[in-house]
Amino acid sequence: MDNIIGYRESSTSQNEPENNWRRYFSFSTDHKVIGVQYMVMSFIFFLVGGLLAMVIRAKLITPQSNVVDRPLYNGLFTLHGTIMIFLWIIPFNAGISNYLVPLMIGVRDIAFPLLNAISFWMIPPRGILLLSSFLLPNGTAQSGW
Amino acid sequence: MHTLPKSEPAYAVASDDKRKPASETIEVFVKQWDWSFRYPNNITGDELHLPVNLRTPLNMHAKDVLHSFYVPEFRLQQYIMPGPNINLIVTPKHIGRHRLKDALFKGTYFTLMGANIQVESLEEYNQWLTKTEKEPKMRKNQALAEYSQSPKTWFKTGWYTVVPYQRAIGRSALPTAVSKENT
Repeated sequence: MDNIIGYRESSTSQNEPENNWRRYFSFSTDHKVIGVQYMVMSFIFFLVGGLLAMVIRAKLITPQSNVVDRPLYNGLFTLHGTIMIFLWIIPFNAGISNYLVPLMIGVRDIAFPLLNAISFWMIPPRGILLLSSFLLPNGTAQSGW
Repeated sequence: MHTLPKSEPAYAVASDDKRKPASETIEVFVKQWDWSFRYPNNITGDELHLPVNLRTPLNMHAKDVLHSFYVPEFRLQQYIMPGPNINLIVTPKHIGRHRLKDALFKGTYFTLMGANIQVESLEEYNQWLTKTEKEPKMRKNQALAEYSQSPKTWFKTGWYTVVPYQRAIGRSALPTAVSKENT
């Protein structure tokens, strides 16, 4: 027991202090922090994708297209599908496994923690890029889902 | 063990059984976003009429992109590539009215695409042909109508869309490669 405590408090320890909430908004290499970051971020995109689904449903209330025009409807549908798969299902799975797998197998962190953090921080720009295609003059992808 | 529910039999078969009597070839033209048909003697229409229990060769041409001739009740689907003539021989089994669909999604006015299929006896088919020859009846091209006057919506984007073709049947509707072969 002494050994374990001594290890944790040694000056060479790479563990970050645990009582700092700011690390959830920063570039942290802790697998638990990254797991929470993944899950919270993917939930935000889940709400965005749900919003697009609400617009699709609003259009489908009446058989006429009087809410959105046809190209926008196709674009909404495409982005709804893309967001729900690539920015909700996949990152949320990554978050759960980031949080749990090191605990389950009893290791201090995932191998390559820096790479782990980088892979998380690539997703928010990706989502913003995807959503910003609504601002393009010719619109989003309209290939359906 | 469970037994499968009895399913409806297909209303048509695709076959090239030479022993069965054949009908005349019908040309099928498809483009974004419209189907049109040319019967013998240059009779044109936007409905596909088929005589029942006869092998009807369909000679299909796509003008722009990959389309798909799909009639759910016939259990038949045939991709139509732009360029070559695509041949499909259909033998309808039951008299009825069906809807021809395109099974490949292709953009803005896709939902306005489609054509009626009428399977009828040979006499009725010939009657319809003579009637159509006297007074050709064509629906308005819905995609074109909506393109020129888009309906009122809350959000109007004006995003780019492929311009629907003017309805043109006959020689001008053929892709260039095909018309060279035929002439």
